[in-house]
Amino acid sequence: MRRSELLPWVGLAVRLTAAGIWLFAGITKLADLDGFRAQVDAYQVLPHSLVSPFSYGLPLVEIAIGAYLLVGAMVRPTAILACVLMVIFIVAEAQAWARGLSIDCGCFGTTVQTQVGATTILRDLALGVPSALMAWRPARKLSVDASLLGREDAFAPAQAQQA
Amino acid sequence: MGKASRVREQRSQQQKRQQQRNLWLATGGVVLAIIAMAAVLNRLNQAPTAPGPAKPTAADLAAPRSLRVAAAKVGFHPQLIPGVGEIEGKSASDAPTPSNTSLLKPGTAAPAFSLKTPQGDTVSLGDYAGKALLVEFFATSCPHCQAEAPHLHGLYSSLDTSREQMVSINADGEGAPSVYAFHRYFGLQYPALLDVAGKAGSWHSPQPPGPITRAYHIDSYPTFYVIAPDGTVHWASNGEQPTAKLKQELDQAAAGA
Repeated sequence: MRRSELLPWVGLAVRLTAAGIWLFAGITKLADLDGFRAQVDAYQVLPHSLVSPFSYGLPLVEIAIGAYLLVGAMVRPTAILACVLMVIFIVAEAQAWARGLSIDCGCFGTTVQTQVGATTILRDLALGVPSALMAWRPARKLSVDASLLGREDAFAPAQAQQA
Repeated sequence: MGKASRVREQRSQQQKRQQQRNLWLATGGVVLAIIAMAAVLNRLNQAPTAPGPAKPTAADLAAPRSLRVAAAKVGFHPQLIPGVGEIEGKSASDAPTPSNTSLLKPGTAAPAFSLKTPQGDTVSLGDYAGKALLVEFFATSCPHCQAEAPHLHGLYSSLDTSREQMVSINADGEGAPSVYAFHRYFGLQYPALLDVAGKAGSWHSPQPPGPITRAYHIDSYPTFYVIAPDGTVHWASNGEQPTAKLKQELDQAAAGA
Protein backbone atom coordinates (compact mmCIF):
# COMPACT_ATOMS: atom_id res chain seq x y z
CA MET A 1 0.00 0.00 0.00
CA ARG A 2 1.30 3.45 -0.91
CA ARG A 3 2.13 5.97 1.80
CA SER A 4 -0.64 8.30 0.67
CA GLU A 5 -3.18 5.49 1.05
CA LEU A 6 -1.79 4.38 4.39
CA LEU A 7 -1.58 7.79 6.08
CA PRO A 8 -5.33 8.37 6.63
CA TRP A 9 -5.56 4.97 8.30
CA VAL A 10 -2.57 5.76 10.53
CA GLY A 11 -4.34 9.00 11.48
CA LEU A 12 -7.50 7.08 12.26
CA ALA A 13 -5.50 4.65 14.44
CA VAL A 14 -3.97 7.55 16.38
CA ARG A 15 -7.40 9.15 16.84
CA LEU A 16 -8.92 5.88 18.06
CA THR A 17 -5.97 5.36 20.43
CA ALA A 18 -6.57 8.81 21.92
CA ALA A 19 -10.28 8.02 22.15
CA GLY A 20 -9.53 4.72 23.88
CA ILE A 21 -7.26 6.36 26.45
CA TRP A 22 -9.86 8.96 27.39
CA LEU A 23 -12.74 6.50 27.45
CA PHE A 24 -10.73 4.12 29.67
CA ALA A 25 -9.72 6.98 32.00
CA GLY A 26 -13.32 8.17 32.31
CA ILE A 27 -14.94 4.77 32.73
CA THR A 28 -12.45 3.56 35.36
CA LYS A 29 -13.10 6.72 37.40
CA LEU A 30 -16.85 6.35 37.01
CA ALA A 31 -16.61 2.75 38.22
CA ASP A 32 -15.55 3.89 41.71
CA LEU A 33 -16.60 7.49 42.14
CA ASP A 34 -16.15 7.58 45.90
CA GLY A 35 -12.65 6.16 45.54
CA PHE A 36 -11.83 8.76 42.91
CA ARG A 37 -13.22 11.55 45.09
CA ALA A 38 -10.94 10.45 47.94
CA GLN A 39 -8.01 10.46 45.48
CA VAL A 40 -8.85 14.00 44.32
CA ASP A 41 -9.18 15.10 47.94
CA ALA A 42 -5.73 13.70 48.71
CA TYR A 43 -4.10 16.06 46.21
CA GLN A 44 -5.00 18.89 48.61
CA VAL A 45 -5.32 21.35 45.74
CA LEU A 46 -9.03 22.04 45.37
CA PRO A 47 -11.08 23.82 48.02
CA HIS A 48 -13.04 21.25 49.99
CA SER A 49 -16.39 22.31 48.51
CA LEU A 50 -15.15 21.77 44.94
CA VAL A 51 -13.78 18.25 45.44
CA SER A 52 -17.12 16.48 44.87
CA PRO A 53 -18.33 18.47 41.82
CA PHE A 54 -14.90 18.10 40.19
CA SER A 55 -14.69 14.38 40.94
CA TYR A 56 -18.14 13.74 39.48
CA GLY A 57 -17.72 16.05 36.48
CA LEU A 58 -14.25 15.01 35.31
CA PRO A 59 -15.02 11.36 34.40
CA LEU A 60 -18.00 12.52 32.33
CA VAL A 61 -15.87 15.11 30.53
CA GLU A 62 -13.26 12.43 29.83
CA ILE A 63 -15.89 10.07 28.43
CA ALA A 64 -17.28 12.89 26.26
CA ILE A 65 -13.77 13.62 24.94
CA GLY A 66 -13.32 9.91 24.20
CA ALA A 67 -16.68 9.69 22.43
CA TYR A 68 -16.04 12.80 20.34
CA LEU A 69 -12.64 11.50 19.25
CA LEU A 70 -14.14 8.08 18.55
CA VAL A 71 -16.72 9.41 16.11
CA GLY A 72 -14.42 12.20 14.92
CA ALA A 73 -16.65 15.11 15.86
CA MET A 74 -14.89 18.47 16.26
CA VAL A 75 -11.58 16.63 16.41
CA ARG A 76 -9.34 19.68 16.80
CA PRO A 77 -11.25 21.53 19.58
CA THR A 78 -11.73 18.22 21.41
CA ALA A 79 -8.05 17.34 21.13
CA ILE A 80 -7.06 20.82 22.35
CA LEU A 81 -9.34 20.40 25.38
CA ALA A 82 -7.74 16.97 25.96
CA CYS A 83 -4.26 18.53 25.89
CA VAL A 84 -5.30 21.29 28.32
CA LEU A 85 -6.65 18.65 30.71
CA MET A 86 -3.45 16.61 30.38
CA VAL A 87 -1.35 19.68 31.24
CA ILE A 88 -3.55 20.33 34.31
CA PHE A 89 -3.10 16.69 35.40
CA ILE A 90 0.66 16.87 34.99
CA VAL A 91 0.86 20.14 36.96
CA ALA A 92 -1.27 18.63 39.75
CA GLU A 93 0.92 15.53 39.88
CA ALA A 94 4.14 17.56 39.80
CA GLN A 95 3.08 19.74 42.72
CA ALA A 96 2.04 16.68 44.75
CA TRP A 97 5.34 15.01 43.94
CA ALA A 98 7.30 18.18 44.82
CA ARG A 99 5.47 18.43 48.15
CA GLY A 100 6.43 14.84 48.88
CA LEU A 101 2.83 13.62 49.12
CA SER A 102 2.69 9.85 48.86
CA ILE A 103 -0.72 9.64 47.24
CA ASP A 104 -2.34 7.62 44.50
CA CYS A 105 -2.38 9.19 41.05
CA GLY A 106 -6.08 8.53 40.47
CA CYS A 107 -5.33 8.72 36.73
CA PHE A 108 -7.43 5.62 36.13
CA GLY A 109 -9.53 5.76 39.28
CA THR A 110 -8.92 2.85 41.60
CA THR A 111 -8.55 0.37 38.69
CA VAL A 112 -4.86 1.08 38.06
CA GLN A 113 -3.20 2.39 41.20
CA THR A 114 0.15 4.12 40.86
CA GLN A 115 1.78 6.42 43.36
CA VAL A 116 2.25 9.96 42.07
CA GLY A 117 5.81 10.61 40.94
CA ALA A 118 8.07 10.80 37.90
CA THR A 119 6.54 7.58 36.53
CA THR A 120 2.99 8.91 36.44
CA ILE A 121 4.14 12.24 34.99
CA LEU A 122 6.07 10.49 32.19
CA ARG A 123 3.14 8.13 31.61
CA ASP A 124 0.75 11.07 31.27
CA LEU A 125 3.14 12.77 28.85
CA ALA A 126 3.20 9.62 26.74
CA LEU A 127 -0.57 9.15 26.93
CA GLY A 128 -0.99 12.77 25.85
CA VAL A 129 0.92 12.24 22.60
CA PRO A 130 -2.02 10.90 20.52
CA SER A 131 -4.22 13.77 21.71
CA ALA A 132 -1.48 16.31 20.95
CA LEU A 133 -1.10 14.82 17.45
CA MET A 134 -4.84 15.21 16.89
CA ALA A 135 -4.72 18.85 18.04
CA TRP A 136 -1.88 19.46 15.60
CA ARG A 137 -3.21 17.44 12.66
CA PRO A 138 -6.76 16.22 13.21
CA ALA A 139 -7.30 12.86 11.53
CA ARG A 140 -10.72 12.89 9.86
CA LYS A 141 -10.80 9.50 8.13
CA LEU A 142 -14.23 7.99 8.88
CA SER A 143 -15.28 10.99 10.95
CA VAL A 144 -18.35 13.10 11.56
CA ASP A 145 -16.21 16.13 10.67
CA ALA A 146 -15.57 14.71 7.17
CA SER A 147 -18.97 13.23 6.40
CA LEU A 148 -21.11 16.01 7.87
CA LEU A 149 -18.96 19.10 7.37
CA GLY A 150 -16.80 17.88 4.50
CA ARG A 151 -13.69 18.83 6.46
CA GLU A 152 -10.39 17.70 5.02
CA ASP A 153 -8.25 15.09 6.78
CA ALA A 154 -5.45 17.25 8.20
CA PHE A 155 -3.43 14.17 9.18
CA ALA A 156 -3.24 13.10 5.53
CA PRO A 157 -4.02 16.26 3.54
CA ALA A 158 -4.93 15.96 -0.13
CA GLN A 159 -1.64 17.58 -1.31
CA ALA A 160 0.32 14.98 0.60
CA GLN A 161 -1.80 12.25 -0.92
CA GLN A 162 -1.18 13.57 -4.40
CA ALA A 163 2.55 13.84 -3.76
CA MET B 1 -17.62 28.24 -13.30
CA GLY B 2 -21.24 28.25 -14.45
CA LYS B 3 -24.09 29.94 -12.57
CA ALA B 4 -25.67 26.61 -11.68
CA SER B 5 -22.51 25.21 -10.20
CA ARG B 6 -21.95 28.46 -8.25
CA VAL B 7 -25.43 28.15 -6.76
CA ARG B 8 -24.73 24.51 -5.96
CA GLU B 9 -21.45 25.48 -4.31
CA GLN B 10 -23.16 28.21 -2.28
CA ARG B 11 -25.89 25.85 -1.21
CA SER B 12 -23.38 23.24 -0.16
CA GLN B 13 -21.40 25.86 1.82
CA GLN B 14 -24.60 26.97 3.52
CA GLN B 15 -25.44 23.39 4.37
CA LYS B 16 -22.00 22.82 5.89
CA ARG B 17 -22.33 25.99 8.00
CA GLN B 18 -25.72 24.79 9.19
CA GLN B 19 -24.27 21.38 10.06
CA GLN B 20 -21.42 23.04 11.95
CA ARG B 21 -23.92 25.10 13.93
CA ASN B 22 -25.84 21.93 14.73
CA LEU B 23 -22.66 20.23 15.90
CA TRP B 24 -21.85 23.13 18.23
CA LEU B 25 -25.43 23.11 19.52
CA ALA B 26 -25.19 19.36 20.14
CA THR B 27 -21.92 19.96 22.01
CA GLY B 28 -23.67 22.58 24.14
CA GLY B 29 -26.25 19.90 24.89
CA VAL B 30 -23.49 17.44 25.87
CA VAL B 31 -21.96 20.04 28.22
CA LEU B 32 -25.35 20.70 29.84
CA ALA B 33 -25.93 16.95 30.16
CA ILE B 34 -22.55 16.55 31.88
CA ILE B 35 -23.33 19.36 34.32
CA ALA B 36 -26.76 17.85 35.05
CA MET B 37 -25.33 14.35 35.54
CA ALA B 38 -22.59 15.63 37.85
CA ALA B 39 -25.23 17.48 39.87
CA VAL B 40 -27.39 14.34 40.09
CA LEU B 41 -24.39 12.24 41.17
CA ASN B 42 -23.59 14.86 43.80
CA ARG B 43 -27.17 14.68 45.09
CA LEU B 44 -27.40 10.88 45.01
CA ASN B 45 -24.08 10.32 46.69
CA GLN B 46 -24.76 9.02 50.19
CA ALA B 47 -21.19 8.54 51.34
CA PRO B 48 -20.19 10.82 54.18
CA THR B 49 -18.27 13.91 53.31
CA ALA B 50 -14.90 14.01 55.00
CA PRO B 51 -14.63 16.91 57.41
CA GLY B 52 -12.85 19.82 55.81
CA PRO B 53 -9.76 21.44 57.23
CA ALA B 54 -10.41 23.86 60.10
CA LYS B 55 -8.50 27.06 60.85
CA PRO B 56 -5.24 25.98 62.48
CA THR B 57 -4.55 27.35 65.94
CA ALA B 58 -1.92 30.07 66.39
CA ALA B 59 0.26 27.57 68.26
CA ASP B 60 0.15 25.11 65.34
CA LEU B 61 0.89 27.85 62.82
CA ALA B 62 3.90 28.86 64.91
CA ALA B 63 5.29 25.30 65.02
CA PRO B 64 8.93 24.89 63.96
CA ARG B 65 9.42 24.78 60.21
CA SER B 66 10.96 21.30 60.37
CA LEU B 67 7.79 19.96 62.00
CA ARG B 68 5.54 21.70 59.47
CA VAL B 69 7.58 20.32 56.55
CA ALA B 70 7.60 16.81 58.03
CA ALA B 71 3.84 17.02 58.61
CA ALA B 72 3.19 18.12 55.03
CA LYS B 73 5.13 15.07 53.85
CA VAL B 74 2.83 12.81 55.86
CA GLY B 75 0.04 13.81 53.46
CA PHE B 76 -2.66 13.44 56.07
CA HIS B 77 -6.24 13.66 54.79
CA PRO B 78 -9.47 12.30 56.22
CA GLN B 79 -10.82 9.03 54.83
CA LEU B 80 -14.32 8.54 53.55
CA ILE B 81 -16.19 5.49 54.76
CA PRO B 82 -19.94 5.07 55.10
CA GLY B 83 -21.52 5.05 58.55
CA VAL B 84 -19.10 7.34 60.37
CA GLY B 85 -19.91 10.70 61.91
CA GLU B 86 -23.59 9.94 62.42
CA ILE B 87 -23.93 9.49 66.17
CA GLU B 88 -22.17 12.68 67.30
CA GLY B 89 -25.22 14.88 66.82
CA LYS B 90 -27.62 12.50 68.60
CA SER B 91 -28.78 12.73 72.22
CA ALA B 92 -26.84 11.37 75.21
CA SER B 93 -29.21 8.41 75.55
CA ASP B 94 -28.14 7.17 72.11
CA ALA B 95 -24.61 6.46 73.37
CA PRO B 96 -23.48 2.92 72.43
CA THR B 97 -22.65 0.28 75.01
CA PRO B 98 -18.87 -0.08 75.14
CA SER B 99 -17.57 -3.17 73.35
CA ASN B 100 -14.32 -3.09 75.31
CA THR B 101 -15.08 -4.76 78.64
CA SER B 102 -11.60 -4.35 80.08
CA LEU B 103 -11.71 -0.54 80.27
CA LEU B 104 -10.80 0.81 83.71
CA LYS B 105 -13.82 0.81 85.99
CA PRO B 106 -15.27 4.00 87.51
CA GLY B 107 -13.67 4.75 90.86
CA THR B 108 -10.26 3.28 90.01
CA ALA B 109 -7.31 5.65 90.03
CA ALA B 110 -6.53 6.92 86.52
CA PRO B 111 -2.96 5.93 85.53
CA ALA B 112 -0.74 9.02 85.67
CA PHE B 113 0.84 10.22 82.44
CA SER B 114 3.38 12.76 81.41
CA LEU B 115 3.55 12.95 77.63
CA LYS B 116 4.83 15.35 75.01
CA THR B 117 2.93 17.33 72.39
CA PRO B 118 4.33 17.23 68.82
CA GLN B 119 5.97 20.60 69.58
CA GLY B 120 7.74 19.06 72.58
CA ASP B 121 5.72 20.54 75.46
CA THR B 122 5.06 18.19 78.36
CA VAL B 123 1.49 17.65 79.53
CA SER B 124 0.74 15.58 82.62
CA LEU B 125 -2.40 14.20 84.20
CA GLY B 126 -1.42 16.16 87.31
CA ASP B 127 -1.84 19.42 85.37
CA TYR B 128 -5.58 18.80 85.40
CA ALA B 129 -5.98 18.00 89.11
CA GLY B 130 -9.19 19.56 90.44
CA LYS B 131 -10.85 19.58 87.02
CA ALA B 132 -12.95 17.08 85.13
CA LEU B 133 -10.89 15.81 82.20
CA LEU B 134 -12.04 14.18 78.97
CA VAL B 135 -9.29 12.00 77.50
CA GLU B 136 -9.66 10.76 73.93
CA PHE B 137 -7.39 7.98 72.70
CA PHE B 138 -7.19 8.26 68.91
CA ALA B 139 -5.35 7.29 65.73
CA THR B 140 -4.95 9.73 62.85
CA SER B 141 -5.87 7.06 60.29
CA CYS B 142 -9.08 6.12 62.10
CA PRO B 143 -12.12 7.47 60.18
CA HIS B 144 -14.17 7.43 63.40
CA CYS B 145 -11.61 9.66 65.11
CA GLN B 146 -11.57 11.95 62.08
CA ALA B 147 -15.37 12.16 62.18
CA GLU B 148 -15.23 12.89 65.92
CA ALA B 149 -12.59 15.60 65.66
CA PRO B 150 -14.77 18.55 64.54
CA HIS B 151 -17.34 17.64 67.20
CA LEU B 152 -14.70 17.48 69.92
CA HIS B 153 -13.43 20.84 68.67
CA GLY B 154 -16.94 22.22 69.11
CA LEU B 155 -17.29 20.60 72.54
CA TYR B 156 -14.03 22.15 73.73
CA SER B 157 -15.20 25.60 72.65
CA SER B 158 -18.29 25.19 74.81
CA LEU B 159 -16.44 24.17 77.99
CA ASP B 160 -15.79 26.27 81.06
CA THR B 161 -12.11 25.37 80.98
CA SER B 162 -11.59 26.36 84.61
CA ARG B 163 -13.72 23.32 85.55
CA GLU B 164 -13.56 21.01 82.53
CA GLN B 165 -10.68 20.17 80.21
CA MET B 166 -9.86 17.92 77.30
CA VAL B 167 -6.76 16.14 76.06
CA SER B 168 -6.18 13.55 73.35
CA ILE B 169 -3.56 10.82 73.36
CA ASN B 170 -2.38 9.10 70.19
CA ALA B 171 -2.94 5.38 70.63
CA ASP B 172 -1.33 4.21 67.40
CA GLY B 173 2.33 4.80 68.20
CA GLU B 174 2.55 7.71 65.74
CA GLY B 175 5.30 10.30 65.75
CA ALA B 176 5.15 14.08 65.99
CA PRO B 177 4.62 14.92 62.26
CA SER B 178 1.59 12.66 61.94
CA VAL B 179 -0.08 13.82 65.16
CA TYR B 180 0.74 17.46 64.37
CA ALA B 181 -0.81 17.10 60.87
CA PHE B 182 -4.03 15.75 62.40
CA HIS B 183 -4.11 18.39 65.14
CA ARG B 184 -3.49 21.18 62.69
CA TYR B 185 -5.96 19.90 60.09
CA PHE B 186 -8.81 19.93 62.57
CA GLY B 187 -7.67 23.16 64.28
CA LEU B 188 -7.85 21.49 67.70
CA GLN B 189 -7.32 23.76 70.69
CA TYR B 190 -6.73 21.03 73.28
CA PRO B 191 -3.42 19.15 73.24
CA ALA B 192 -2.73 15.95 71.30
CA LEU B 193 -0.05 13.87 73.03
CA LEU B 194 2.43 11.32 71.71
CA ASP B 195 2.56 7.87 73.29
CA VAL B 196 5.25 5.91 71.48
CA ALA B 197 6.60 2.53 72.57
CA GLY B 198 9.74 2.32 70.44
CA LYS B 199 10.05 3.47 66.87
CA ALA B 200 7.56 6.24 66.07
CA GLY B 201 5.11 5.42 63.29
CA SER B 202 2.95 7.62 61.11
CA TRP B 203 -0.57 7.56 59.79
CA HIS B 204 0.61 5.32 56.95
CA SER B 205 2.51 2.92 59.17
CA PRO B 206 1.23 2.72 62.74
CA GLN B 207 3.48 1.25 65.41
CA PRO B 208 2.67 -0.57 68.65
CA PRO B 209 1.07 1.85 71.14
CA GLY B 210 2.97 3.26 74.08
CA PRO B 211 2.69 2.46 77.80
CA ILE B 212 -0.10 4.92 78.62
CA THR B 213 -2.38 3.55 75.91
CA ARG B 214 -1.76 0.06 77.30
CA ALA B 215 -2.31 1.22 80.91
CA TYR B 216 -5.76 2.50 79.92
CA HIS B 217 -6.55 -0.85 78.22
CA ILE B 218 -7.29 0.65 74.81
CA ASP B 219 -8.33 -1.88 72.14
CA SER B 220 -10.02 0.41 69.61
CA TYR B 221 -10.30 4.04 68.57
CA PRO B 222 -11.61 6.35 69.65
CA THR B 223 -11.81 5.43 73.33
CA PHE B 224 -12.94 8.04 75.84
CA TYR B 225 -12.30 8.42 79.54
CA VAL B 226 -13.71 11.11 81.79
CA ILE B 227 -11.46 11.54 84.80
CA ALA B 228 -12.97 13.12 87.90
CA PRO B 229 -11.31 16.10 89.64
CA ASP B 230 -9.94 13.68 92.28
CA GLY B 231 -8.05 11.69 89.61
CA THR B 232 -10.31 8.65 89.53
CA VAL B 233 -12.04 7.25 86.48
CA HIS B 234 -15.58 8.63 86.27
CA TRP B 235 -16.69 7.06 82.98
CA ALA B 236 -15.19 5.21 80.04
CA SER B 237 -16.45 4.02 76.67
CA ASN B 238 -15.18 3.23 73.20
CA GLY B 239 -16.45 4.11 69.75
CA GLU B 240 -17.84 7.39 68.48
CA GLN B 241 -20.03 9.13 71.06
CA PRO B 242 -22.85 11.65 70.99
CA THR B 243 -21.25 14.97 71.93
CA ALA B 244 -24.11 15.46 74.41
CA LYS B 245 -23.04 12.28 76.22
CA LEU B 246 -19.44 13.49 76.58
CA LYS B 247 -20.65 16.84 77.89
CA GLN B 248 -23.04 15.12 80.30
CA GLU B 249 -20.29 12.93 81.75
CA LEU B 250 -17.90 15.89 82.03
CA ASP B 251 -20.55 17.97 83.82
CA GLN B 252 -21.33 15.12 86.22
CA ALA B 253 -17.66 14.56 86.96
CA ALA B 254 -17.03 18.28 87.50
CA ALA B 255 -20.02 18.49 89.86
CA GLY B 256 -18.68 15.50 91.79
CA ALA B 257 -21.76 13.40 91.00
